[in-house]
Amino acid sequence: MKKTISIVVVGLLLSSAALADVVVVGNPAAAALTKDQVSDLFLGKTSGMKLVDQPESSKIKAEFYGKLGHDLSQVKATWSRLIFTGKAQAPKEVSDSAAVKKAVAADPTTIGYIDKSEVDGTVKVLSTL
Amino acid sequence: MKKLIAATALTAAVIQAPAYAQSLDTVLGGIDFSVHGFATAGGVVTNTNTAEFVRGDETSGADKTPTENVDSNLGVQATARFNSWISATVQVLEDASIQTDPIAWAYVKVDPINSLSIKLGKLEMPLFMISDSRDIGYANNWVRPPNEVYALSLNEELKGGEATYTIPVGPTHLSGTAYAGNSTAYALGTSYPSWEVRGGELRWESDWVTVRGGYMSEQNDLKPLLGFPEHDKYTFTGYGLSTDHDNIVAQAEWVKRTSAGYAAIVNATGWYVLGGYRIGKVLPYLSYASTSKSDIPAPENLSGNQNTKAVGVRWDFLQSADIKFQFERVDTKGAQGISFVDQTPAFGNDTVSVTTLLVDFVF
Repeated sequence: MKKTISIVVVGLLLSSAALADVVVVGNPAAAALTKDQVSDLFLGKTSGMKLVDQPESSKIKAEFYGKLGHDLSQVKATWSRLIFTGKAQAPKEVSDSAAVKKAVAADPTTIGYIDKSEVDGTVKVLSTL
Repeated sequence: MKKLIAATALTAAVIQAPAYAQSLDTVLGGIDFSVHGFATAGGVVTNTNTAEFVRGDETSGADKTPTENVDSNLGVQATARFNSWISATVQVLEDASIQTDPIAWAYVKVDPINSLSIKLGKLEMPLFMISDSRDIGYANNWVRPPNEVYALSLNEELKGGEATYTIPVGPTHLSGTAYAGNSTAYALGTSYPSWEVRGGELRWESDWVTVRGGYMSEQNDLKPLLGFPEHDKYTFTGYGLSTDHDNIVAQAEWVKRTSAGYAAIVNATGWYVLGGYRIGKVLPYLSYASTSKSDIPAPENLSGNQNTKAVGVRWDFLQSADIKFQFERVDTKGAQGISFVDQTPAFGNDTVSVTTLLVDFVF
């Protein structure tokens, strides 16, 4: 019985990890965003918000851009073009989700993305991907 | 010199790669300074010594002896952002182009409202699908833009102003650009002044498709070429389509160059199609490009008929760096073509094989 429960618990943990939601977070004062708006902002098609990005090596970064329908190497090539042509400012890369939350909590015009399980009272979920 | 620059840049890129886009950003006295760079280092070799293969307007290039002089370049760009709507940018570019001024761009950009952007200074005209990022190898999938299309334009630099207005159309964006100013054109290894440059571009972008069309006209002073005073109206028209969706990459462009007074010598059209399939960090691709000169008989043409079949692959082997390989067969139809200089009488009889291996990086 104990074994069955722990197997179920492990199974639940694994499945929740596999199906983890990536959420776009902002300052508690910021307005909600649609997936299209998130995609436009993080692929440099529109400006108007300051963006914070997760580290290159993080699993969530590939997951986030993947949910927007883009491969990481494609995203990097796109951003190199946008930076050099002055069409958009590069997202600021921070060290982890805690740093993302700190950055968006401090500024109502900054947005970032974290795992849904990492959301706390300092930030507001603007979009769930 | 080139080799040294490239080696230095490579070292810098590898060292700085993990901190890409962040390490050189500083704020001084409320002004946000950022410095970014891009570089390409690599070699090109062909199977003939009867002419040298070049990129764009270069005056020397590759034959049976490999050279790094075709595609290698180093660009450094500094931007000072004074506030959320005024910035100044300077780009220094070292490459093998005939255009020797190392200051590629120097402009002030003003965004008075969110959808409007105005640039004043020394700029790049939006004549192609890939105009202001064509020298950034890392931002593109090919080893170089096809000469059949990109080597047709006689000038890209603009000293003047440009305004771009963007409007949302549902989930897509439509932008219109208008520009005006002066320029310098290059033909037959000679530079000559251009003025009354007037041009525009319409560009529609959805999440995965971009469509654009552009037109430019200018007055050229042909005295340096002809030896006597002569003004001529020159135009450049281009259409393009690109898509990058579900690992499928495709791009196509068509361009046309005309002259009012020297149509037989100047007029030409060019087009290409490129298709690839992304498998993670590896992108194999195929392309076909073709250019045709005017049908009107002329003693000399600025460029001849040519087509190129190419197969290549891009591999993003490092963060912020890629390796590219391309093999192409260039057919100049028994004449001058558009990709070769220093042609000997024996040139043009055979299709030329060109092999390129290079590394692109951004830092």
